[in-house]
Amino acid sequence: MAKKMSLKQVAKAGLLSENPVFRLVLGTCPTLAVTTSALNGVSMGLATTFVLFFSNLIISALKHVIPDKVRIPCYIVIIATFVTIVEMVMQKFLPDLYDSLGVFISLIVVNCIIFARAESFASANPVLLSMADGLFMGLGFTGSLVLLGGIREILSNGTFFGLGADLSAWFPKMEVFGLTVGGFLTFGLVMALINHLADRRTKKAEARKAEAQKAEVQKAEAARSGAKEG
Amino acid sequence: MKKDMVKSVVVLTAIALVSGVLLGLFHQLTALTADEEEARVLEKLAEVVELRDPQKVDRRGADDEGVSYFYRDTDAAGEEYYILVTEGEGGYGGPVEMFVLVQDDRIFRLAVGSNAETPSKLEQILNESYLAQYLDKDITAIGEFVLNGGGENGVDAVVSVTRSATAVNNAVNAAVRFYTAWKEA
Repeated sequence: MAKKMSLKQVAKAGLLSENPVFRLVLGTCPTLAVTTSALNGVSMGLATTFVLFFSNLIISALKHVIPDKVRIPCYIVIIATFVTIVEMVMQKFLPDLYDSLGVFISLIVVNCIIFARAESFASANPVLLSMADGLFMGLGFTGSLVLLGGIREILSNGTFFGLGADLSAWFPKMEVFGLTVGGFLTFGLVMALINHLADRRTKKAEARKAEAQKAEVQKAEAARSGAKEG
Repeated sequence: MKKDMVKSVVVLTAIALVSGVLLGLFHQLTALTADEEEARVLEKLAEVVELRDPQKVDRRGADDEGVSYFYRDTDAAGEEYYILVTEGEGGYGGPVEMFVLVQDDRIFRLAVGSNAETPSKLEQILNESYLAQYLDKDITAIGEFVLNGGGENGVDAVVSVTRSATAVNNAVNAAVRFYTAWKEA
């Protein structure tokens, strides 16, 4: 299926139609845990993007070398290597973020998105396309985390990326959105909204298609009746 | 069959070896020097207490694996106090770093440093009423604080936060042991 995908299709799939968080519902655990702020969301997202990009690259490049029987341990070693590199770099250069994301950086190893893309895409597609898949899936994940983190930060703290005026004059700060329960609530509401919009779009497209078919049938009938009269 | 097995072993070993080399290289590039680590600790300390002129204190042979740094500083009134940077094992996400501030042989302030605990859980024991159980007691006479123990050195843990509470308690006890040994020396 994925073998015939173009770069544009890969990009669209990663960012929108197969968005890992809202459409495939993968990586829900870190999604709920780290999206207490937009900055946490973007950091976790970019760390995951790095791992996705490089693990897809290596797995795709070695797909004919890795025997089928040991593919899972090989993928795990490759993914864990890049996660540990991200962890070491963050600890050295971004210690505050490292503390803030805590154990969830290490847990990228078992993030379903990465393993799913390695197993379903990188192991069956050319290197460049696999890199693109990793990049766009990662960016789709990052965008989703920033969206959720931004909403939760605004509602619970009245800020966005730690900046901005105190918004408590417009609405009271709702601390519940900074807690786990707020994560579930925001995730559910945003997913419902996205599904609603996607359904509406699909229905519109189907209606347009049906209208076009109807118009074609009418045109054909008109042509037939014209021919009879003639 | 045998050929397949050998190939599997060779490939997996090769991948693991390359990963090991790559990680070793990155470790060399990103490892913190002792000075960098100390600067980072002091930076964190400055967030919880107004540091004036923290000076490293001679340990006088006292040692405890849990105590990584030991400083002397003065408060606004010019009174001397000690800062012990400790680590307590047993937390849900690994060791918990604590800053233990001691004046006149009594802990007068506790603050948490690096840790990988669940923030909402840790918040339940990092409040004033919980930490008050450790404060204002003569730590040279108390021996150790005992979680869920009775008496003056007993500390009531919080249900569902026992692992974080254990790590915090271990960190404080490391400071108590070290400080007592240091005083005696």
